[in-house]
Amino acid sequence: MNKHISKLKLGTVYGLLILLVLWQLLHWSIQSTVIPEPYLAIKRFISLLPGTLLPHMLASLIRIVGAVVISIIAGVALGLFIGVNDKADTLISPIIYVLYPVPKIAFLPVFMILFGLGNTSKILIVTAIIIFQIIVTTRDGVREIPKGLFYSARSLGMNKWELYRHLIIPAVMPKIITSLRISIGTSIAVLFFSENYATRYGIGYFIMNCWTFVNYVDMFAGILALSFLGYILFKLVDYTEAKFCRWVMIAKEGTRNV
Amino acid sequence: MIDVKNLTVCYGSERALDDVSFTIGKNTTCAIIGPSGCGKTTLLYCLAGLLAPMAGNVFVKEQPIQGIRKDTALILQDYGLFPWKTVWKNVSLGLQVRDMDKKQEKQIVGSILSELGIEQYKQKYPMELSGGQKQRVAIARALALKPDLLLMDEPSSALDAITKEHLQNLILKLYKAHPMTIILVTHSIEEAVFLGQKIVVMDEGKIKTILDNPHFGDENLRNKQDFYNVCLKVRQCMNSGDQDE
Ligand SMILES: Nc1ncnc2c1ncn2[C@@H]1O[C@H](COP(=O)(O)OP(=O)(O)O)[C@@H](O)[C@H]1O
Ligand SMILES: [Mg+2]
Repeated sequence: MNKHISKLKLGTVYGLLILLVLWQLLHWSIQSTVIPEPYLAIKRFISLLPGTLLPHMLASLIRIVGAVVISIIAGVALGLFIGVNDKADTLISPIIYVLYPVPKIAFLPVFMILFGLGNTSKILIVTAIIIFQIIVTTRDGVREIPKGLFYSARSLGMNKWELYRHLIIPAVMPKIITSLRISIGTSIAVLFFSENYATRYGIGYFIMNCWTFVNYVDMFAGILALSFLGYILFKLVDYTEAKFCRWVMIAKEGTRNV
Repeated sequence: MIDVKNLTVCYGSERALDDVSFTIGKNTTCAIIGPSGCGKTTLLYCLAGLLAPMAGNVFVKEQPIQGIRKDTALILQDYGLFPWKTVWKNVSLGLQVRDMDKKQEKQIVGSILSELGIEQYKQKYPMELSGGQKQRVAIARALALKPDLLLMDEPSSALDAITKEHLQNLILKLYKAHPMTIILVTHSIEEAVFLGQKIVVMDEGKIKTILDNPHFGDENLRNKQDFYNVCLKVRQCMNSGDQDE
């Protein structure tokens, strides 16, 4: 386990180094202010972080966390419901399948008219985009639970709530975590787009604003901030997985050693 | 203790159990043997209250079975352990569901793990264990409930020959240490003769014969001629009728 983590950390350092080298090479080869020198951008990032970038990052973080929390609570609840209940599945799943591929981002103007220009519409557009994946993953996760485990749980005398607590939720947890990982990438992209409108806070706004003022060093400091935000969220998911799905981690270790 | 009367179970149009009747005495053991697909698991699930029969009844202690019974423990063929719970959590689960106080729960789980020799695995997850170790955990989980009726579905079918005999010896030992009625389903003749005081031979959803096994209970039975005589008798019962068809 420890060995695994230190390997991961080493991997992160290695990845960062390669990224920096490529960035520097790009800067040299393009010879344009559009790609500033990494050193300058990082220096600017550090100096802008406390007073300027942090409030923007916080605004974006609140929106993403809001959307993810709403999607997880509502998406998992609905996914469990249709996963367990066949009748609900035949009624609700067709609707989900029709809505899933619709490019919801195109409805951003509608969201802004209906839910205002503030945080609500931004949180809801991200929710509308990531919730479908969570619903479908949860439902499929419930269906994949071996039937024997239900017999086993019932023969131990579990009631409905205990079945959820000891069997259904732990069984779908790893799948929810996986869909969460994908959702976070998506939500950052969607948020970046939606922050270009009707707001003065959020890292998306900051980046586009620097672009308007042709301030590429600041813009790159903003991109670094956004990447950093994504990294922190990914780490948070990793931590959740290590904490709540230890058995999955052990299973992965096992197959790697074979 | 157990009274099965005219039990019939269907899956769709297929009859998995057809008018099955037998009785089993209190604190005795019974092995149900038959080829794969003859309805053994179905019968066991009915006894556990997991399946409702289409016709007929199962009485345990004169009470008709309606759903899960508190003092019945079931060990599934693939053990039915929860992969996300450690050995300790798996074993304590039944007690937790019964709202037992934590101190008593800890004491019971600790003593049952050491009785089965799996204390050192208590923090491991089922996937870190061998088949034989998993089976012990499943037995520990069942015995923690202090059942008066223990149902086992092919307890040794997934184990290698040596582990199989160890496990059968263990079951016999546990039976002698804890008075309870044991019903086990198997497709191994040796297992049925070693562990069954009564041997129910099934085929295609029906009972062919019920044999009494006077040699049951001897740990050294496998080294004796009597064992092979009973095995032969069971084998002949299982084959009888095939020639007539
Ligand atoms: N859930 C099920 N749905 C439909 N048919 C089933 C189901 N379970 C068992 N059967 C059928 O019932 C018969 C008896 O099965 P089972 O009790 O599992 O036999 P055994 O345990 O003796 O191998 C088999 O023919 C099997 O195909
Ligand atoms: Mg079976």
